[in-house]
Amino acid sequence: MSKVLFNELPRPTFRWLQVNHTEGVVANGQAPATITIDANEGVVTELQNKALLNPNFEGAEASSLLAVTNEYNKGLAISVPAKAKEKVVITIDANTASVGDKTRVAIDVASEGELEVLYIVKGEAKEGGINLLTEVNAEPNANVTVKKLQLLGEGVQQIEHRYTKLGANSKVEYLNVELGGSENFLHYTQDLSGEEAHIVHDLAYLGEKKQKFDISMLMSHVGKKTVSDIHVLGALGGESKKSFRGTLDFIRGSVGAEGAEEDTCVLLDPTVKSVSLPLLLCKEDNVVGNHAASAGQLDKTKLFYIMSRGFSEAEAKHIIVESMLRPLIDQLGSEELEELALATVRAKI
Amino acid sequence: METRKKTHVEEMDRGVYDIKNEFEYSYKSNAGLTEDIIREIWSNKNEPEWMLEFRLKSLKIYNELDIPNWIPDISGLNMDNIVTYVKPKVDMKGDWNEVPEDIKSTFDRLGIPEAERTSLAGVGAQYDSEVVYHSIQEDLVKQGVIYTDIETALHEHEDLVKQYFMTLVPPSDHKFAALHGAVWSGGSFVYVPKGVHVEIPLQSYFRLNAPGAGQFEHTLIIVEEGAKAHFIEGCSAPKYDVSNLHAGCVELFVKDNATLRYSTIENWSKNMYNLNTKRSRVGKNGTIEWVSGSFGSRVSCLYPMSILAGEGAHCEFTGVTFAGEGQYLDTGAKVVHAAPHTTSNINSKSISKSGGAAIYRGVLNIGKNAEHSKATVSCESLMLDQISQSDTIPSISIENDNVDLGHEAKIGRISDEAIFYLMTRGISEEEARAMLVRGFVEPISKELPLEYAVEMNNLITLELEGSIG
Repeated sequence: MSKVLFNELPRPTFRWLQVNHTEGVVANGQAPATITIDANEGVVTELQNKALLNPNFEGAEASSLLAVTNEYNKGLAISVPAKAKEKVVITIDANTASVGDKTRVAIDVASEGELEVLYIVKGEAKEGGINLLTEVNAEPNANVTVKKLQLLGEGVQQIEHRYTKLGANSKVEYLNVELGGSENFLHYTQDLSGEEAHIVHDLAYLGEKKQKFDISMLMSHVGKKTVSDIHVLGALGGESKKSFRGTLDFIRGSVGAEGAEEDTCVLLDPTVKSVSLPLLLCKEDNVVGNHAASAGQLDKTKLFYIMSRGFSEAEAKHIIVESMLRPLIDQLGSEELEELALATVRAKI
Repeated sequence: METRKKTHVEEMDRGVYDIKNEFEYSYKSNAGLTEDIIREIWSNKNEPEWMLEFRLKSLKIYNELDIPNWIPDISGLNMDNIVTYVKPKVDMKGDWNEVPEDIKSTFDRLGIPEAERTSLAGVGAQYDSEVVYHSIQEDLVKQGVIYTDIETALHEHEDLVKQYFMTLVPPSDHKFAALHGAVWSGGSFVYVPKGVHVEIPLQSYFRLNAPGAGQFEHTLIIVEEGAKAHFIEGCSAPKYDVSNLHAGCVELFVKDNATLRYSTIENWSKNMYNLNTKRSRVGKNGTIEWVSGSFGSRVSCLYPMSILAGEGAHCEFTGVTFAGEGQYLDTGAKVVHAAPHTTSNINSKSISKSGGAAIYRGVLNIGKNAEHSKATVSCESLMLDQISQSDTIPSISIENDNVDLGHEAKIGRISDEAIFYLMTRGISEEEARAMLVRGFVEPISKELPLEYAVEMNNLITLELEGSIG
């Protein structure tokens, strides 16, 4: 298996750092996952048009993007008419010993339409990989929410490519709760082309053992008064690693745009590794761009306070990490899924 | 005979910086880079045999390495046209009166002899490829402080130079470090013995007068255990229609419990490619303080690096970059925490206007054994118009759990409300903007020696001229 480059940085930096991309291998598995859909009739159909929404979209990695674009085992088209309101639940269940799944989803929400998509990516598979491509076309004044809970087995690789095109005054909210998988290569390119388009992307992760979270987010501000907000929050234990490549790109003409990105990482063990590349690219003066990154141990004051109430250090750590991730987990919107996610968090810490 | 004229019809007069002298020299190499040219430079400088081997090895590395893919466009730089060695018509002097009048006048206008009389403990002045003047106060000499040009050091303190020269920035570091290793000439050597505090700054000024030439000065500073020093570096050149190249190298060895402050104002002309490398290694409880102002050049790549090698070592970086028309200034700072309890603060400000690009590129690496380390990074960028560019490209890597890291960056423009407020107080729009820009860089200017703070404010005023509207 040949090595490929994942999540290449839009603007490379010093080569000796070895952060301009992540080298890896695309995992192959035996059988596709079981895909189940829960939606109103007619909202989800088989995908007919194979052309990418943005032909220049590069995804997490070229060969896996090409494979899921053209050779998917499941292709879904979700279409919401103007002013309609829909909810779709897609469960990708890697329930074979060795999973090799390529699922492609194209979402089109017409003007003033509303859609909530919930991905549940889980399974007992011991090896292989999930390759998921989602394209979102949010037309003017559309409202799109995509939530995802990922609970894959510790031997399964996940590659996710997501491209979003935001029309004028559209609003898109993304929430990821990433708890499983061996290597997670996650790539999100958001094209804020419509005036006053607004996107929020919250992502929570929890790493243990040798888990890898390789996250790339690109917010491309093209339209005037566009707003983006990235919030990546997680904890690393064992020998786990996290790389965050976040880029706020203010294209000339994006007058009045505002972007913010925040990467917060709690380090639970001395053998973890956290890499953060929060880029701000700016060719427009009338914008506001902020980024912040922080990393460190758990707050000692909090730890002391909880321990002074009779909890052991380990229990106190559990409580703090859980309370940190809980605001995002609580947004999943399903009590059953929230409990499942919390149980996984408790088991992992 | 001096000729004084504006650098460009659409640019402001950069005053003293743009006054060029007649191009006179006692020797200059052919343009380009060949083994013969390197042998000529070596022979001309009467260096020891090991330095020839070093230069030739560096040339080999230069030819093997590619140009990094991430740096700005330097296609306007053709090494075949660059003259790598220009020996001025004078040998180094210890008395300004012995320096030829036109060269002395250049440094007079830059304020160097005046500063020497009033506020410096030692001065070095380099003109093209060689140092033409050097002095140091007698009491420092008595304490064992060495401050001389590096050529003299190579002959009089060869063991010291050989021990440290290009060990912190090896020629294999990158293509322009290799180029430097091959053709270096001039620069300063400072040695501060154990426990000696040099309270008054030492200053070296590098002036490149020759058109189409390169300047490759090497600065080597060793501050021994418990010692203290402040070194100031100034650089400028008049503008020509051909490209000039600056590929200097600065190596700073700050030993245990020692402190070094390194202040720079780079004010190269806008035909200059400034590909400079600066690095320090800091021992236990030692401190390196960088104060850096980047104003001139067409393209700059400058990222002073601090390797915090000893427990409790500390780095402070304060930098400002101002990119105007036609400039692409890619600057920043790199810090490697390689020992426990190390601390660092990076504070960077950048301004871009009239189509200029100001890029902050930074590195913060906290290694496996750097437990209990703390680091903060703050980057602020100000854009003065819609045709400029301002990017922030930081890389933060942490490899142990017992650290405390904070990084923040913001980008924006001068607030209309603030301008309006000042204008209601009777201040013109132009002056209001200038005041706000000066306020923006004030945290940097207050760290500079007074005369440099004044120079920086003057440069900002010059750069802001014509930018309103």
